[in-house]
Amino acid sequence: MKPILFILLITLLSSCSSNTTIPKNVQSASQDIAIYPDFKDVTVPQNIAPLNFHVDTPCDEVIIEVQSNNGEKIIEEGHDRTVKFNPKEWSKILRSSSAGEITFTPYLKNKKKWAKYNSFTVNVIDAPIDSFVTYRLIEPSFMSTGQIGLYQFNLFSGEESTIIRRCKNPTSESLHDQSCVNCHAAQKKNPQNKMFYYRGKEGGLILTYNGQIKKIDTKVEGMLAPSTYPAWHPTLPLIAFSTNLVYQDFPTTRKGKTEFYDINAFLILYDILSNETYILPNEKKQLCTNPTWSPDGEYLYYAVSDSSINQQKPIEAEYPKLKYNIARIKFDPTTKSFSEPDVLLNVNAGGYSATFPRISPDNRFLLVNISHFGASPHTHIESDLFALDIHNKKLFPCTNANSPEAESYHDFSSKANWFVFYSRREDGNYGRAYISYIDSTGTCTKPFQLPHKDPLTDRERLKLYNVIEFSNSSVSFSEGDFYNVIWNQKPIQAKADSRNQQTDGNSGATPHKKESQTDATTGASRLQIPINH
Amino acid sequence: MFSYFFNKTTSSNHTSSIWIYRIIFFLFTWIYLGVAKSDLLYKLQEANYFLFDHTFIEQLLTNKSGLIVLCSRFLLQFCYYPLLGGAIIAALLTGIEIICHHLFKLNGKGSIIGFIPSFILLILQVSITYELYDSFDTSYAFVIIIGWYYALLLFFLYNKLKKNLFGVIFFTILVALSSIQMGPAAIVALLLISTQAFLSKEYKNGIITTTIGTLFVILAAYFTIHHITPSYFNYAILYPWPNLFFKYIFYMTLGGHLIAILLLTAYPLYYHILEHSKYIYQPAIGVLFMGLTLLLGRYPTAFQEELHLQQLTHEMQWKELAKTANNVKVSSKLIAAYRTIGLVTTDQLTQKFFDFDFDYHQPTFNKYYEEVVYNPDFMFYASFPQISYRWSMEAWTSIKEQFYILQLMSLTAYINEEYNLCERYLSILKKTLFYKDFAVNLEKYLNNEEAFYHKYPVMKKIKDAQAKSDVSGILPCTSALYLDFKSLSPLNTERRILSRLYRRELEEFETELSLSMLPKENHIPECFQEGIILKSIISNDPNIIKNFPIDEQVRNKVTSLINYYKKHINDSAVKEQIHEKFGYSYTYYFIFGYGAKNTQNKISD
Repeated sequence: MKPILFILLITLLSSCSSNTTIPKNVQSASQDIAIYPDFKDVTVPQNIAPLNFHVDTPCDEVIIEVQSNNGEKIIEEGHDRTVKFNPKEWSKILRSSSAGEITFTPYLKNKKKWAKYNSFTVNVIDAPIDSFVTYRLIEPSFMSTGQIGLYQFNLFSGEESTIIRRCKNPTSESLHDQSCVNCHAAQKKNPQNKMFYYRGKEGGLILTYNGQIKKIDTKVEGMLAPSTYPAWHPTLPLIAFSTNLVYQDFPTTRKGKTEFYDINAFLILYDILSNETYILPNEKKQLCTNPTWSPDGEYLYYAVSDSSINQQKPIEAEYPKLKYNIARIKFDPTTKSFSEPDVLLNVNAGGYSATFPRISPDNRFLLVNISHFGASPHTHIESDLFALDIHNKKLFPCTNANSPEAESYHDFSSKANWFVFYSRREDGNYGRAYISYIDSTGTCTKPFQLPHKDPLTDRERLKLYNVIEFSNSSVSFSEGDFYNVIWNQKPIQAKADSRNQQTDGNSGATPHKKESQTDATTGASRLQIPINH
Repeated sequence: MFSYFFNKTTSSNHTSSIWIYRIIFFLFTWIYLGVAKSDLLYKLQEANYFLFDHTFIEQLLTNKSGLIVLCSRFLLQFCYYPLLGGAIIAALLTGIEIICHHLFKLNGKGSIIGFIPSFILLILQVSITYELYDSFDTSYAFVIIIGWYYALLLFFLYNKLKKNLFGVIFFTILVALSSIQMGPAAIVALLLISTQAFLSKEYKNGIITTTIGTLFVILAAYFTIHHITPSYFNYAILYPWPNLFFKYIFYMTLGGHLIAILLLTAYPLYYHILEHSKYIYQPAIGVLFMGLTLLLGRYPTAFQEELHLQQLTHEMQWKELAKTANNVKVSSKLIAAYRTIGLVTTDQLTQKFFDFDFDYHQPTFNKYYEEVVYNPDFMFYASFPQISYRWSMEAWTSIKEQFYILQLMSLTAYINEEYNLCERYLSILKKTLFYKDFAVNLEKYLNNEEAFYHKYPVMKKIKDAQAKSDVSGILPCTSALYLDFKSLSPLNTERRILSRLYRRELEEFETELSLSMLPKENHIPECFQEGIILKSIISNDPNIIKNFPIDEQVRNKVTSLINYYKKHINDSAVKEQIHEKFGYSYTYYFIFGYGAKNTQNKISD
């Protein structure tokens, strides 16, 4: 009996372990293979999940040899041309190739003959990265309620999990209640202090703070719309928002297919502890959107536009007039007040629009979207990522990250050496998440796509990624916890800050604390911004 | 009495007659579904989504009731050929009868009872109507059938295991665990067991098992669903049965299942009555149920015609589409939209557009969802591919993923010259059973536009008539979209002028017709002539007519119609009389068509 059991055990173990070998009698093809996702020559952190891929080059069988610069090897066979690496073996390879290259050598079998194709490399660097990215998955071009959800992706394991998906409330009388999950943000990459919006009848700001979930209605008198784009203060229990009266259009010919534009937009500050909403003065009635804090919390950056839309005129001719610059205002944490704004980056003069400012945690670079117009660069084919060196005010394109299609929704990692962003480079429609390494000079590397366990996930997923952000751990609350609050709790109504009464809401009459204008403005014409077409 | 089940032998006297009934039932179901309800079957599979892809299958299996939905979606694909789909359903329903017959020992005159669950399931299937335009999972058509197979299997198993304590424990755990993948089929089995136990007064095992089983099912649902809130919980247990939003289908499903369960399990109580009654005549019961199926399976007004026109459009049978659309009995926005597609694709738009009753009946479903159904197709054939894409997305997100929408989006991407996007959609379609050929065919043309447009001239027409400049696609209707284009190809000029007529904007119509090249030709379409004559009458300016080539016959017809209308204006049947006397025309539309209240005053004045 014992020998039989032993043989069975050996058989079982041998069937589990990889015994793939390099094929013999191999010819040299001297050709590159096409793989998806394109991981060739990308730079990845040392603890990244296996870079599984699909071989697009037609073949009957595929074997990949992976070798680190220290000689460690994996030989992996593809099934249906899909190559998936054993996580343990993969991790070993990465560890053994600290700050070096790993080389992939493909062997493809066609008509019973094996051929060795050109090798490609992946650069591994010892630069820490946050363990998660969070994002929203949504379809590209629609208006009504869809199958929208927030998700988190573990960069070390390649696993995706749901934070919350928009779903119908079965107790609701109508099947067609419009609702949406959007605009999520966390305080300093910490998902324990996180917020997102659940729009619709039962909606509100869903805030997790100090281990509790709350539903809050931040809208107070003087606000034309609910709070929209959020920005957590890095240390204080404060969230700055833009409140946008936003419209959507579906142009008949423009490839971006949809255009979002603001009729009105200004900034507010929500104080979590006092539950008060303060409307920031906006004397010039500018459109202010996309707020973000400087890493030290001393400045609030945002996109600002002096233009406005005449709704009496054909809208498709109006919204191209909306052009934004990047401004900032100094924040006084003791009085929770702001000083006079100053424009940090002026690209309007050159005929461009700058939006979605994001500051690196080392306060070195400001990453920004530049496009022809508007505040929805993610739908603009010409939209590219640019970095502004905050110290010398030099603006330059993130050449290696940009593509002929739209780039947007960028965010820096905690240590400022990686940034994640959205790009429509695959088909101009379905934006995917990419991560690029950025060094101290602002030079970035060829980005890599999220390393899903199934490499065809992004090719077959009919949703795009947006509002992609790094996170240092997973969200601790379940979807059920969130729905308990959404469906069963009434929103806590925020109080208006006493200063609002003096400001008459949007009109703004409160005198600013004057801060001297900086010489940060840099005209786009001087910069000769290379916008792709 | 409990020993009645599984111990009684089948009488051989009725063996041949029961097989005749089975053949009749099979043929009735097959023809009824495969022919009379072929449009419904086709649409059910169009709104289905199944891929031969391990990721897709894995994802589906991680959902509650994943396995039953997976099997149902797989089978639903075969309704692409309604006769094949109908045959599969008929065979499966006949199979249920055979199992019921043996499981419940339905002998003699009582054997007809075995057909009742199958008839009820058939009625439930054809009761799906406008629900399929909503977020209704069309795999329901097979979910209820597979559910019954599974419930009967569990019922059989229980009766084999019920005398053994460990067997019963094993059974309850099996029911609970299987409910995760098989959904409410487990509940149907528990209902069968509990009803049987209750009616046979053998409470001990049956009731205890079903009580514990039900608790386990609830617990299993509790731990497997994502949204653990009391309000959502009921729905999670019942999924993929239609939820309470679809009240009609929900209560029909619930009621139908309870009737079937009760009639089967209570059979020992009433079989003596059936056996000894002189008045129970099996064919009569069969005919009664066939009649009930026909009665309850009737479609709402216009529904069948709408389904048929959609199928013709999706199969690209343009001539048949135009012909069928002109002969519809009821008018609805959906029908008008598909009729317009038929006219556009067969170059009859201006000739026949107003030869139709535009007095739409009100849809019985959400008005917004009516637009979501026809706008993806309508905007595509109206040469607005991007707006079609937007509406396809609306359908994709607010209804659900569907084969047809994916197919349309790939065509939209092709026309829009977004070949990478088109390739993405095709790569997914290639993983389907019956849409694979479409994908493989279109893929051949990804690098050969010329060959594509040469082979598919209708696609060329769509591409050629596209807008060259940007207009806001959020305008309320297609006519408004056309009006926003100032200078387009002659084809669009014609559509633009037609839009003015449709909107009864006669002033602008006259101006734009004058500016176009059309009056310089010897002939302008009849509806344009009528528009000019009406403009002349309303503005009391006979000189207008002189600027256009107006046919005397058309002039006489319009004048006669208006005179008749003025004369019989107070007659409640004036509309029908005019239709009978003059037929449909632009003048008829102007007075009686959709939104005509204001124009009636202009004419009567």
